[in-house]
Amino acid sequence: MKKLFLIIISVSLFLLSGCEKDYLERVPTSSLAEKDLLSTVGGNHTLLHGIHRSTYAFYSTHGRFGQKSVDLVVDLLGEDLFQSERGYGWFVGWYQYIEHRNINSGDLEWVWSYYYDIVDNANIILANIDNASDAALNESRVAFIKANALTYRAFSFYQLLQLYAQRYDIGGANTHPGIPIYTEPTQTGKARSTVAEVYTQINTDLDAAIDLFTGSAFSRVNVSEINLRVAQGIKARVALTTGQYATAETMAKAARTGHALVPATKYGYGWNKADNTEWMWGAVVITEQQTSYASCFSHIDPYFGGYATLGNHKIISTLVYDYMSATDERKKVFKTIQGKARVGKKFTGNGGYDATGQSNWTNDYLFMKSAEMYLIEAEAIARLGGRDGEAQTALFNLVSARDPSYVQSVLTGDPLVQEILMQRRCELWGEGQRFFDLKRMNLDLNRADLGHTPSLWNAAGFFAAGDKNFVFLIPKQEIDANPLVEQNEL
Amino acid sequence: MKKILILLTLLLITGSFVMAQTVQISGTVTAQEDGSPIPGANVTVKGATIGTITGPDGRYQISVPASATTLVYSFIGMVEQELQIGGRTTIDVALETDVVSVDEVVVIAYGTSTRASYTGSADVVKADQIAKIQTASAAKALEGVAAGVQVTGGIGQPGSSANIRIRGIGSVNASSSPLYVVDGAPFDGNLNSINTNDIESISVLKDATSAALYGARGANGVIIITTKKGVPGRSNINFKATIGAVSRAIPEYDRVGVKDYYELMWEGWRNALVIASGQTPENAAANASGNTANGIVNKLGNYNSYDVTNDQLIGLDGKLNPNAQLLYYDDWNENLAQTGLRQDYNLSLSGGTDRSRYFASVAYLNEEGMVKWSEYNRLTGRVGAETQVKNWLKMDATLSGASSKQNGFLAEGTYTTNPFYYGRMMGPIYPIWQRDASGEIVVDGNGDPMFDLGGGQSIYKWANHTRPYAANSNLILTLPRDERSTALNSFSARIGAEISFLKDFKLRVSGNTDMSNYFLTTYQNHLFADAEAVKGRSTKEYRKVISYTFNEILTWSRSFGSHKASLMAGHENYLYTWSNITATRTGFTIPTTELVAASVAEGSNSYSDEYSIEGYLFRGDYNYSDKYYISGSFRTDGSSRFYGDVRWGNFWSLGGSWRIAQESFMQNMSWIDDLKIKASFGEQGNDDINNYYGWQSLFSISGRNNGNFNGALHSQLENRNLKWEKNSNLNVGVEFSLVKRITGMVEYFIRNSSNLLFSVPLPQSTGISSNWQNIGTMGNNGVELTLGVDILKANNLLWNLEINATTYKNKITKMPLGTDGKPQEIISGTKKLSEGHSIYDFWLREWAGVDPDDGSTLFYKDIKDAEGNVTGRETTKDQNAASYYYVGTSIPDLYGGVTNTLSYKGFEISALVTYSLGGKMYDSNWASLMHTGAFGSHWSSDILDRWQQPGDITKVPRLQNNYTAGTAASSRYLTDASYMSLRNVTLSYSFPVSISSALDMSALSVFVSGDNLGLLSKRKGMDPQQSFAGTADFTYVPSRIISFGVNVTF
Repeated sequence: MKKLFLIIISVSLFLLSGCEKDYLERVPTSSLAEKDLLSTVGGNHTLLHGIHRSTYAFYSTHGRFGQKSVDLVVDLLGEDLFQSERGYGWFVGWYQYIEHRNINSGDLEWVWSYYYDIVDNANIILANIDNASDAALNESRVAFIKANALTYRAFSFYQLLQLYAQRYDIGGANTHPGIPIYTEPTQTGKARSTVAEVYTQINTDLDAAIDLFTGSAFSRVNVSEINLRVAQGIKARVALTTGQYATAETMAKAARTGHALVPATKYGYGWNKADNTEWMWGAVVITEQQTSYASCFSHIDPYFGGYATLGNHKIISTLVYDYMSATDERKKVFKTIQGKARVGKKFTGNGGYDATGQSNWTNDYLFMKSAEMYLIEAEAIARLGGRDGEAQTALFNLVSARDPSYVQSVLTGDPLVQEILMQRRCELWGEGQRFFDLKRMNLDLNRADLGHTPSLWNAAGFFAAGDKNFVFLIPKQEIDANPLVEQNEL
Repeated sequence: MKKILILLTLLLITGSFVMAQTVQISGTVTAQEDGSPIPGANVTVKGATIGTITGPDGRYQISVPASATTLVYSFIGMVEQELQIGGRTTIDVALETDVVSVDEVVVIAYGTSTRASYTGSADVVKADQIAKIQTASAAKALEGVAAGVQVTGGIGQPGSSANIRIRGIGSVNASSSPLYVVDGAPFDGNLNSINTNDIESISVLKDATSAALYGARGANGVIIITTKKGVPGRSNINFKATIGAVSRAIPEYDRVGVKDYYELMWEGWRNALVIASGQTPENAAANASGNTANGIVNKLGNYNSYDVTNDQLIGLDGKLNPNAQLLYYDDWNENLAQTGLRQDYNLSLSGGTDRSRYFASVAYLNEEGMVKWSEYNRLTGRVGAETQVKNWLKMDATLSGASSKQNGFLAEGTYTTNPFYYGRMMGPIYPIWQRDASGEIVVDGNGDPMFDLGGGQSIYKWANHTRPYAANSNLILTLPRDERSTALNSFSARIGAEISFLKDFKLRVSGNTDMSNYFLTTYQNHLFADAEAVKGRSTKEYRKVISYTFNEILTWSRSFGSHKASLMAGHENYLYTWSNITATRTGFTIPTTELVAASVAEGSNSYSDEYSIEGYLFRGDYNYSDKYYISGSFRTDGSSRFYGDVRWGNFWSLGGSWRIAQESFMQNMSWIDDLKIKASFGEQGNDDINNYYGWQSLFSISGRNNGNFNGALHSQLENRNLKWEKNSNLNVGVEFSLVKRITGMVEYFIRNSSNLLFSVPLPQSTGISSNWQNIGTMGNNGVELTLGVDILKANNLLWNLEINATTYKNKITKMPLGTDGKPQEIISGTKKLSEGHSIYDFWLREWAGVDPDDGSTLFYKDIKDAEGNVTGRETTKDQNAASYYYVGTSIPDLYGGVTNTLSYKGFEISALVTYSLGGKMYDSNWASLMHTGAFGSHWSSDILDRWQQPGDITKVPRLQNNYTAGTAASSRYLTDASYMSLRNVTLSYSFPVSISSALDMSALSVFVSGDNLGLLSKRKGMDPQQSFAGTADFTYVPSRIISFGVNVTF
């Protein structure tokens, strides 16, 4: 009896022991599966918002915080913006032309992956959104999302090309190596297309985006999203870089539609809050998503206790500073701070108007503003030739809004172009254009006698136009994992 | 749910049944050697599950069925005896000492075995050895005492643990750590939650026979921790108290003094002005000596430790003004250091009857670190009990809980808040406190010393002084105001029931859980340094980790004639869950870490993960005549980490041994006490890729929102073919004991890992830069030796020597083919994975010394012909042009430990020396101290050998501020990692019974113990045991602990 009982108990216990069928099916809560995200238009829009966020997210070191990291680098590689000291060492390697010439550099690899991550996510949207279950019901929104993805892809290629390839030679064949082009999701690396091919792709994407935006009634949630004006603005930049001056003019004019310049008295308040009519594109940052020490403001706000305060003040070159007249509002945002002259407080939100910065890490990032469109328009017209008066007017429309005493230029020809370019340097300080301009116009980099501390630039005081140092090296990770990619001249 | 039903059923069936007719037998068990009673000896009825254990006086009493014929008497270290009952009711027995304790019990997978019958490879570390090492973590107690075990990362942070590798490196990207099993179930709690004084033994299972039954997770070996259960017949209360002092075990690197520092900085700056800025040497010297913004004192943040003006400090010759008097020097390391107090109190009670055993303990540990503001305290409690409820039912339960708190800091990386980075790298000229013209510390209105933050905005900003190293920080000021703490409350339960039925069957069902609740605080104060700008920042995190393991094991075992066989079948399932919630706020006006007081919400987050495994397991053992043994096992496991079609893996083992000494032809060789040869082979698995969803295509939603709009971003590629990494394991060995005083074991092993779980790099340009794939094969093979010798054994004097040594080679034998049809090579950090090389072969620029002409660093560079073939090599000054080469490995040639134990009467002294020979370490700490003139950073004394003028032959390049090539990563920083460490010395004295009895104690002893007493290594300051990969970080330096203790048993 007892035996039987024990046997029954034991055998039943043993046999009872299997698990339910789904015992081994587990999913994360901090991620979504592909099928759950991409099957709806809303899911694709969620992915687009992820791309927006990537432009101002924190990437593992205090020198990597999205688009503004690259913008800061692009200025530091020029001669108009430099750091007063070594401080904690952030961005010093960039300024010294060491970072982008070191294939092992994590920062160099980060810039590359930052843009290619955007391309990957944009490609995923473009490959999936038409198959979303509710795509047919949301045509306008689908068009808007696709246009965003296309513009991001074009913008990323454009930025990468200017950094990792030799300059675009206006009028040349441009058959030298550009960057790999990806237009759909893949795990297989590709070889570098030529510079000309990449620009063809960029223009194809931008044109498609502009068409889609034009045909879509969907409105963006705020300036963090790309709209028709932003796509046109990027097209204007691309056209200026590639010498398509007529396109540059048209696009720049169209792009600034609806983005009036602020009154001169408001200039100093305008560059860390998105509630400004000039802002075409930027990042709207909320407190929870600001990145503290790893933020652009940490590196550029001279007051707030970030890295700038701790030694790395950002200073404007004497040349540009001196060029601005005393009545120019733009000059007033440069002050002597902690004994250092010409420290930029352009992005502190109260510019030149009171003694201290505002005490808040949470600020918005500017990616594109209408003032730049005036400059593109003026330069394009001036370079097209024969319409100097229109160029002078376009320039006057901008500069008079900054400097009430500004008198419309009477220069013509190259001197007019040079004035426009000087105004460009005054206007776009700290906004991520200078290194691109040097390459675009094939200029020397000459940091001598502009207020720099020569020892700080290490070996990067002067590079002749076309020097190999103007080209970023392809990061080692890419070379190792993608044998098709060829390295730039070491 | 089903599991709970099973447990309930178990509880219900403990009702009573009619007992068969019995006979009472009693007697005394003594030792034949001296006639002393043996308490705790086993007395069992042969062929039945009835048994008892002798009391403190060696006496026993047992009720045996009338049908019983034979009683079996056994005790560890004694030869087992079987006696016919033959109608007797009193049976006394004298057991013979088994000189070589071959019948030592070995805890193995899902059961126990004995040394003699075991076909696998296992080392057992006993309680007395474990208790010698003063640590909160059992992992640290294994260093040097078990062959094949490598221990690294044993840092000095109170409450820290260590990492273990057994017999080489099992995987590349998946885990290479062993599986921890505590009292029969895999352990997921924090190892620090187990009081090492509660541990009875630790078995280290190394081969397939031992570990394959843990199939899914046994690939890297298994460490089985068995906690104390009490000894029947001996009711004890034991109290042990240890009090000690904690100090730094490895000294700081030798660094330059204040005078040298100024002069060297001047030189580096002068050279920079000449070489980078193109100044003439004369102008450069004048600039560097002057008092402008370009003068060296200004470059160093305007810190002048001498009583002369800035422009008088360093002459144009680069020498310090001979008339200058030093005004102040603050030693940061010294001011950060303390002698910590370590207190460890253990109280336990244990005992048992013939049917039940129990152990209970409470303990309190408090350890202060050798750096101020680091501390660990822990309260632990444990109850373990085991009882034979019925002849057919045995139940056991172990419950343990721990509550601990670790206060410390981020002792890793180049965080300004890391004292081991800060104290090492802070230039010697920087003061902790502000100084007046005479060098005296400046005081504030209250007479309190004024700190110097070296910049920033606070009241401790010293006017005109901005420290170029770590501005706006002062750890002496901020560490006591900040908090980084981890509070851990954990609970573990092991509950099992064993039913015996029919004649030879047993079913064991057990339910096990480990629960850990972590509460972490990261707080930066609102007044000074990092969080000053946001008025303080506090992050609170709550983390909940729970795992459940249920298993049902059915065994059958039977002896017939000279044959003994057993079979086992089982099922096991395992569920692991991890959840956390975290929140950060800023904006404090009062000094508190609590979020309630902060005004700005900076972020909050929560998420959870799950992981499950289900397995079916089988084992068979057979032995003939106690001479020939064979055993085999099979297990199949399904893991939630893999896709449904491929998630099940099969693992197995086969082993055999031959006890040659038992053969009749060996009987006349009396000098051989035992001789056994054994071999095993099998396959285990590994799925531990630190990613629970490695096969799935995923989009991260963590930290991806754009403002208030939900965001996601591509984070992982799909791989539905991702499956188990397989680890095959061959072990061949011989065990021997000779002339009654030498025991030993030599084993040869080959471990091969195939289908390696690789995080394979993909081109960054495709978006996701790596993907989990099963590629490649890697192998380890080596030899282990364990030797124990009683060197002296006479007149109460015993000198015992234990040696273990292991050597192994690691080699990657297969890499996947790349797009070019050749095996891929994967470069990560300082290593490159490629066929024919080990996982830890350094791949670096090869340093070619210093150019005597200009002091430049030289690297080697391949010369290639037009086809790209290497035809030779030359040197280059350009680090970017330098070629990369294999330049050595971090894997040692030989490692192990030597223990000497000398005892005389009540005295015993033991010394454990651990050693590692060969292998290299990339000493990045030293590299940081060998910069070419970074303002503010400290310098190794080795910098004094720098190149200074043409013709200088030296190994240290010229100084030049911002000279990048001068510090580029290369083989220059590889250092021989060989070491010898005096890991532990313990001297104890046990008072004679006459004294302890007089005090009404059954035993009394006192001891002095020292950990990490000395280290011999290539470079002073270097910790050669930081990582298996031979890399270094600014980690918490290991601590030296010297303690005094007393151990009383009532």
